[in-house]
Amino acid sequence: MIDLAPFLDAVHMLSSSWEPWLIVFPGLLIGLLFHAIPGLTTSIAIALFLPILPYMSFLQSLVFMTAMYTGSLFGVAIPAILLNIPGSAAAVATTFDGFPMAQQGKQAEALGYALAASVVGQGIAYIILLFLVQPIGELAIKLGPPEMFIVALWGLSMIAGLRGRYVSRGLLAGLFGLLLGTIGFSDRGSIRGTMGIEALLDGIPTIPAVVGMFAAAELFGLVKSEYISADPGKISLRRIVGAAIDTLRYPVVLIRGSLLGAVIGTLPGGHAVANLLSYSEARRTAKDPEAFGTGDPRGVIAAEAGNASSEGGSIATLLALGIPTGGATAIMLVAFDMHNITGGPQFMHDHKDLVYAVILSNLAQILFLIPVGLAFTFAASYVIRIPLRVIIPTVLSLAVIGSYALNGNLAGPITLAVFAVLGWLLQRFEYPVAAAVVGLLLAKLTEGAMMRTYQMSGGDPRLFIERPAAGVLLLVLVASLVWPAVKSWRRRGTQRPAATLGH
Amino acid sequence: MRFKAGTRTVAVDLPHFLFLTALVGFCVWYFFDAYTVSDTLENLLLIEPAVVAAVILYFVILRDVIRVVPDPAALAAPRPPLSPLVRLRIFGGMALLIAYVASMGVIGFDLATVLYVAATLALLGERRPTVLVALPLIFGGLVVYAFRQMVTVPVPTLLELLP
Repeated sequence: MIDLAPFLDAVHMLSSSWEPWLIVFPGLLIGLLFHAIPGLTTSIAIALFLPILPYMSFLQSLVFMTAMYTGSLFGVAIPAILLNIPGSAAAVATTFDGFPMAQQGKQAEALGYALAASVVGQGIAYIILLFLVQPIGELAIKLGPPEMFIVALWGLSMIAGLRGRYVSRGLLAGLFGLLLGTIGFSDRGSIRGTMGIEALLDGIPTIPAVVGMFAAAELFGLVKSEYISADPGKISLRRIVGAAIDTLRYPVVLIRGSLLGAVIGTLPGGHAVANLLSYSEARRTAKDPEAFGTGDPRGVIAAEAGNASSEGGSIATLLALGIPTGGATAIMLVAFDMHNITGGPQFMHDHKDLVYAVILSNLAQILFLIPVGLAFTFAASYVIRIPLRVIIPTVLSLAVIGSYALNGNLAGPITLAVFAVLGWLLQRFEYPVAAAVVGLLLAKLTEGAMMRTYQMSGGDPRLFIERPAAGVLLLVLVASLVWPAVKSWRRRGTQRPAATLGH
Repeated sequence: MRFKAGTRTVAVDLPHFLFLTALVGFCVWYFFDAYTVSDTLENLLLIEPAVVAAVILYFVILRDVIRVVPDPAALAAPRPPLSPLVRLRIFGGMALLIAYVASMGVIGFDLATVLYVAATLALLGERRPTVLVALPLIFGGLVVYAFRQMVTVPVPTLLELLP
């Protein structure tokens, strides 16, 4: 619950000076811009601006970095919707329904849904954080490999939902992605599948591989078209705002996605799973799951709510435990160092006012994101009017240079080119690319958690019962897998008597 | 590809067969590579069941790839065929992307980007000379300049690579 004295101190800190607020707009814009360029990441944006942080106060630097993070979490949705390029792993699920909407000329609506889901998702996560920052931090430390393994399995179960026309091809694509994702050093130090290529020791570079498989493959498939959408429709702010307001018609999808994202975001690598899980659950519990993947707004809302709210979870782990859950929060930790501050329980105890100030400033940033995001999406939605013969070379070129910038070597561009060809082949022979991507993204996480769980339990499954958090997660996983089958069985049961009556 | 087996016709979707075999072949090779490194349970905990499942799925999918039919006329095409122009644009586009990636470290990111954008524009049907020249030059120049300013890693240009 809220500790009133430091909370009031935080309000005073933020309201007594304009200084912390001056850098919110630039932070949001930098975050948005960096993710509008395929291949660039929040980590690069934050790393780029690290040198100016010592010239800011600690609060100012935290506000600046979280503003970049906030902007980027929505920014990833823009290329995902308009070009089928997930700016990061956190936006993979956004492409599933976002890009089909853009192809139907509903890009303004898709961006509006994404913006609103992002704003509401982050809002919910930070409100939870405001009240429960301490318990969330304590919960995060209790979640170990067995819980992470169940979360990873939950994410992988999505492959079954991405099967496309052929179940067997979907499963094979998922397994292929899973195996590709384990290439390189294992957690035990074994080197596998590198073919002697040094650049593969750390595994296949994920972002270039995902961009190659999704974007390049899709763009190659579009060479016969003149534009992304045959009927681009009128681009108007009213359509974006209308869709943003319409988002509130899906409260269950929004709230479930936000809660899942906030909890999963506390785990290392959780932000990559949050959007997939949120999408998967929205699809699984829908009355018409077949509508997902064809341009259903609920798909965009679920994915973005899960993605955006994971920021709250990851910031909770960073502040409460001093543990980074991803690249962006790892670099934020460096900024802590620059100000000679160590994140973790002691920080929470000694600087509760700062923690509240960060949470409150993030709630305010979400309000700033609305006008900034609207203006940005309005401008970005004109991409759909550019002929594909211009989009294809310029976007691919940006993606290639962006993937080079990730590590400063040609491994990124080579990966992108190889996976572009592979992605096109998968698509041509009707193997769902998304299933391969889900496998690739979750492979290291799954294998690491699986191995540590095995080491902890010695192969004894009772471990899952002995740990309450693992038991609860396991029950939720089983229920989420079994529920659609039960629902369909019950539906068939109710349809049969109706059909009999009809005769 | 079709051939007769008695009174029946065996239809093989050869491109799909080759792709499927390469995909699962990689999985099997990967298992043996991992096994050679270490045959411990920890090392193969995920890989072994995944590869076994991939091999089972290979045979399941093979039923779609190799079909024995009494009447070959009733056999539908497995995929919509690509017209020669679309085929040229897809495979040409892939070749240009690979050439771009291979050349950027040799001729510089700026020149490689300008050439790649111009060649792909031409391949995809752009014929206006001003667009073919101006767009790649402006885009290539701006992008390479912006990246050189933004990122901390070196982005080599033609002038820097000249001996």
